[in-house]
Order: sequence, then C-alpha cells, then structure tokens
Amino acid sequence: MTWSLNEVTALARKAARGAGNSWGIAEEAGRAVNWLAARGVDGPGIMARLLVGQGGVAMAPRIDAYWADDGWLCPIMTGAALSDRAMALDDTVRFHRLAMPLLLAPAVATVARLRDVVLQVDWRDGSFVTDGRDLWVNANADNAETATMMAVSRPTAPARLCTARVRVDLETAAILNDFAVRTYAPATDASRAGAGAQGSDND
Amino acid sequence: MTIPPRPPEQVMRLARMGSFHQHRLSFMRILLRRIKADGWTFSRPRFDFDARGVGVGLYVAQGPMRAYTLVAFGHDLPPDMRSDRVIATAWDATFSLFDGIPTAADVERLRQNVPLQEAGRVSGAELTVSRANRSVRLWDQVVDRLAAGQQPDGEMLTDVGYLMRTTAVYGSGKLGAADREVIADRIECAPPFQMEMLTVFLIRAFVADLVEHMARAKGGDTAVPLAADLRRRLGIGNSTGLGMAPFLVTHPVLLNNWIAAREEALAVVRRLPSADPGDVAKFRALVGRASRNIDDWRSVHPLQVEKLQTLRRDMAALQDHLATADLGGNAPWDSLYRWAESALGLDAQELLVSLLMEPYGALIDGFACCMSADEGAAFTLDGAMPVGMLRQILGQVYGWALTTDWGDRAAQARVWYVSVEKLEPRMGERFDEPIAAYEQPLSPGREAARLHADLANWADDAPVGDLLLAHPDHRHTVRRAQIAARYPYAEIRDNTIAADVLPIDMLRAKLAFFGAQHFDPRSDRWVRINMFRGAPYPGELADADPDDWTYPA
Repeated sequence: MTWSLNEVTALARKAARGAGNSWGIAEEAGRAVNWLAARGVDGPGIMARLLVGQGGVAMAPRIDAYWADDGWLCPIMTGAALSDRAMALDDTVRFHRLAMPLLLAPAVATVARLRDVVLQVDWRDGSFVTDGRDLWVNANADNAETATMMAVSRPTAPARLCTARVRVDLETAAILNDFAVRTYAPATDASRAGAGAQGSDND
Repeated sequence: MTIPPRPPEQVMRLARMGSFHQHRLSFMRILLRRIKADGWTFSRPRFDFDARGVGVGLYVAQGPMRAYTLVAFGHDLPPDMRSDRVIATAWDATFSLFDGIPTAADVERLRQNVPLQEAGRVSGAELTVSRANRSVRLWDQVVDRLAAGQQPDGEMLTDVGYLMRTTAVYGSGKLGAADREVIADRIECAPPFQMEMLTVFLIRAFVADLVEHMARAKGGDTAVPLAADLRRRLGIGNSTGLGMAPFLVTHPVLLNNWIAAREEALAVVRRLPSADPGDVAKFRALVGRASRNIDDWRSVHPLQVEKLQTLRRDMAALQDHLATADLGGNAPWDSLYRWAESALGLDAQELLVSLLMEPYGALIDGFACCMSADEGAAFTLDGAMPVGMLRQILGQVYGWALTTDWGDRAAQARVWYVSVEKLEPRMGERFDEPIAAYEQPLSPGREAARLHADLANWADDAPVGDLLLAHPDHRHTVRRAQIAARYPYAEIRDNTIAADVLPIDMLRAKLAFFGAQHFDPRSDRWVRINMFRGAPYPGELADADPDDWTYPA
C-alpha cells in the first residue's frame, strides 16, 4: 500500500501542529515532507524521528556566526529562517548542532531557486546538494554536530528520481498519527448534535 | 470603455458569496462543454445487480486521449444506517473513478475497499472515491410505479429532484487516490474538479439505470422505463456539511482564481458597447426560464424561504424593468447591471451576473483555463518584505478586522475544529465548550488583527523575516497576507468565527462554482443541492447543447 503525497503532507502538517508548533511552522513541515517524499526520501520517517526527539515546541535559531540555539536546531524552524533570508545570507552559513539535516533540504532548495545557485549542505556523516528542483543525497544521518551550507557546481551524477507515491512504514505512521490526534477535539454530545442536518436523512 | 472588475471589498462578503448561482464557468458546465467538443463516447461494459440493487457496474467515458471508468457498487442498506454525515459507515451505493479501464483484478481490489470508504484504501490508479444514499420516498415510489407500468408522479419528482444524493466526492489524493498534481497537466483535467464532476455525471447515469433495473426485477414484463422527460429532470443530490467550508479558506489562490475568472467575465460583458439583437433575445428568454427555475426551488429552511421570496420578487422587478429597458443603446449590460445594484437584493444581483454571462460563451468560456491554481507556488514567504509594507497590506485586506472589537465575545463566539470522531469538521461555541485548544486556523481576520497589534513596536524598515524569528506564531498569517496582496480575491472579507456567521454561505459559494443548483439548507451549517438536474445524459450529449440545460425549457 502506498500513500499519496497529499496524504503525507497533511499528516506531517497535523503532526507538527500536534507537537505544539504554530500553524505556519506546521505548514512548513508538511511542505518539507512532501518535497522529500516526492524525491524518494523517507520524509515522513525523518519527520517522525524529529518530533519524537524534540519532545515539544521547536525553537527558532539564533542567527550569528553559527546558527544555533540552546539544544538541537530544528531543521523546519531553521529552514523557515533560511528561506526568509534567502537573498541576505552569507556565502557560507554554519549551523551548530542541526537535527535531521535532510529536513533542511526543502528550504535550501528554495534558497537555491531564489538565488539561482546550486547549494550543498555538508556535515561529518554526509551531505546533500540541490539546485532548487533536483536533490542529490550522499548520506543520511540523524544529527549533525556542525553543518555548512555553500554554493557548489552542479553534480554530474543523476539526481534522485521523482515519484508521486510514498511508502510509509507502520511505525512512522503510528508516530505521526499519535501527534496528529492531538489536534482533534474529543467528541461531546453537543458537538456531535450540531454538525449534521436538522431532521432525518431517511427522506 | 474601461469598467474594472468589481472590487474584493464588494464581492468577498459572505452574504454575497452565499448568494452565488451556477454560471458558464461552473465546473459542471466546463466538463460538459469539453465532453461535447471532444466527442467523448460512453459505454457500460458491466452491469451486474440483483433485485435489491446489490452488485457492481462499470461506466466508461472515452475521451480522445484517455478513458475513465466509474466503478459503481450497489448495497442493501438498512434504514437505520442511512446517514449523510461523514460519521456514517455504510451507504446505498459507493463509487470510484478509475484512471483508464480496470481489469477484473482492479474491480475486485476496489470491491474490497470502496464500500468501506474512509476505512478502505485505493491506489494511484483511482482518481475519486464517492458514495450516495437514496432518497427513500422517491426511490420507492419510482420503483413501484415503473414496476406497475406507470410513470412516477412528476410533482413529487420535481419536489425531491434526485433519486440519490452523494455525501462526499473525494479526490486529490484522499484515501490513497492519485494526487491532483498527477493529472493536472491533462487538458481534460486542467480546470478544477473535472474528475469529481465526471464522477457525479456518471453516477447520475448509473442511478437512472439502477432504478429501472429494480423496477424490471419487481414488475417483470409489466415494468416500463422512466419517461425521457422525467429522467432528464432528475439530478444527483448532494448533502454537504462543514467539511467543505474550510476549503475556501485553505485554498486562497484557488479561490482567487475562481472569483477573478467570474468577475473578469462580468466585466467583459459590461464593457460591450452594444448588444446584438440575437444575444438580447437569448438573454430575455433566459431571464424567464431562470424565474421558472426559482419556482422549482424547494426549501423549508426559514433563511432560504426568505431568500427565495426576495429573489422571486426581484426577478419580477427585473422582468418589469426589462419590459421597458432599452438594451439596444450604449453599454446596455453595464446599465442593466448598475440598475440591478440599486434596485435588487444580493441574490438577484448575483443571478443577473450568471445570466449576463450566458449569451457570451465565445468571449468568456476561455477563462476556464485560468481557474486552477498551484497553491504550492505561492507558498514561499517573502522574508525581505519590510514590516511597513506588511502593515499596509493588513490595512487594505483586513481593514474590517482591524476595526472589529475582538474583545466582544460575539466577535469570536465560534471555533472551527476537527472532531476525533471520524475526523468530522465541526464548529462549536468558544465560551461554552472546551474546544478552543483545538481551533483550526480558519479565522484570518482575527489573526490579522493579532499580527497587526504585534507589529506596533516594529520599525517600518525591519524585514518580515526578523519579525517571524521573534513571532513564529504569525507565520501562517504573514503568508496569507502576502498571498492576498498578490491575489485580490484570496480572502473572504468577513468574520468566519462571529456568533452570526452562516457556514452555509461558504458552502453555497463553493457549490455554485461546482455548478450546483436548488440550495436547500438543512441548518445553518448543512445544505442539500442538486447537480446536473436537467442535463443531457452521457449518451445524449452528442446531440444536445452542453450549456442549455440549467434553466428549465
């Protein structure tokens, strides 16, 4: 069984909201998962691990010589700040303790598109490159003690293939659903009564 | 003559949006024009149902490039399980639109899933999932009469208007179906909701076949088919609740493109320096037919009864005015429209807008191509925008909200939320129920006012990106405001959480763009409608006018 991109986008958005993030950040999370999943990366799985690891509301980065906060940088919050500053960024951006660096890729792609460059994010265990549309992933690791973003030349290797169908493993779906459920109100008799038509549907 | 489209402050009010009527750019109309122009053919390769209507049928729509197949399942539903709400778990019939022609294995896979609806799964080979319930009183009467060799009572048929009503038509990747993006570049799928409309169009053919089949099973040789004129009068009903209302808020670019197309169409007609006598005659005839259509419009809901009374009175006033109005003079349509604004209520004004578009298909049907939207393309925020500009946008787009007293409980009495019960969208009372913590972001006006207040201490030249670092909670609203600055009709200019908000206004605005008619509210948040009533059936389109069916002949 596969999922549509719309389904994983909606689930990731709700899960991020259920974890306590603002709606605007939750939208970024849904969009990030969509972008990765469309390129065959397990966006839902990485998002699930991020939300479990964060255990609460993500913090915005402090922007200095290194982008950092008091714990692990949230790649969604950091990505939002990155794309908001797309045209004002230094040539090299350094991140201190970046969680789930692959989740930063969709925002890096936005920056690459706006600046018309190819960008690479490097950390000790891996790297990815994007020109705004395509993605090249050289490794996958959950966290990066430090990571660096800079312009590079376009890779000659083929980029990741695009897909419209997503495989979501059961554990990932369960984790994201557990977060998403927090956005749903428990049913009450009053709410149940008010949502339908007045009168019978047997007419 | 330069007549601009009507401004959003005028158009995007809920009272006006709740008075919209179907028109040439409604999605059903676009679909039937496409089917006619491209010479689609239709076939029914399978129709296996028993005397109770249990079984499976396949309806194939063959276009020039591709085929689409409605896979229809009939069920035997006990009356106590018949509910139109999303919390229902069984239906009289369930459907899926297959992308192509399904194999026997595909049909078997769908048979195991489609009858379960939300509890089942479909695949990327399916484009929609839908279900429908019978109108019990009309269904039984039609089966009994036809079985006895008689035609059903025409009056009762007009009263109800449909044999089955859908209670959901899911597309766009729901329940595992193909994403909209997968089909968006097909020419027949480019305008919005074309596959959903095709699903309903084919369901209508299936329903007429099924009722005749059950009459034959009951009456044997005595049974007769439904008379062609009665058959034509039957549409497909639809029963819609709150689930549809948020869509207009969550798809701002799409909403803009729908409204902009219709407003531009109106402006094109108003700009015409003169009217051809043939077009004038066509328009005059349609005004009479539209008035008769209102006579067939049934509702017992007090709000709708009052609206219909006003609409009837206004249509009579319009006909009186037309009896003496000179439509052969300069810019006659603009004069007529301006007269209507001064003399008629909102419902009749908006019906006039629909009617003015009718003679001018050659000028406006092409706008159909501008009505879809890539919401994703508008997603990226402009973090470099100066706070001063954001402040200015908020004043322009959300001016009404900045002067609203949000401390007044009536201003935010309602909460939109999603219930854990089958994820049913609901609206509750903020000050009476423990639901505020679950509020969905469907009150752009109040959020804009909150954002505006938090901007007070920010310098005009500060970039919005800095604001969002300090206030990530405003990200959603800043995104909306930036979209609304580029797309003038993106935002509803009214309070969607006020004590007196009528969600049926939002439902009607959306359903009118689908092409629905005969809006019949069943509460302030629930509406029944009719789709394709009067339309040719699939096999009849080749010899019929694809546009001349929405008003009775």
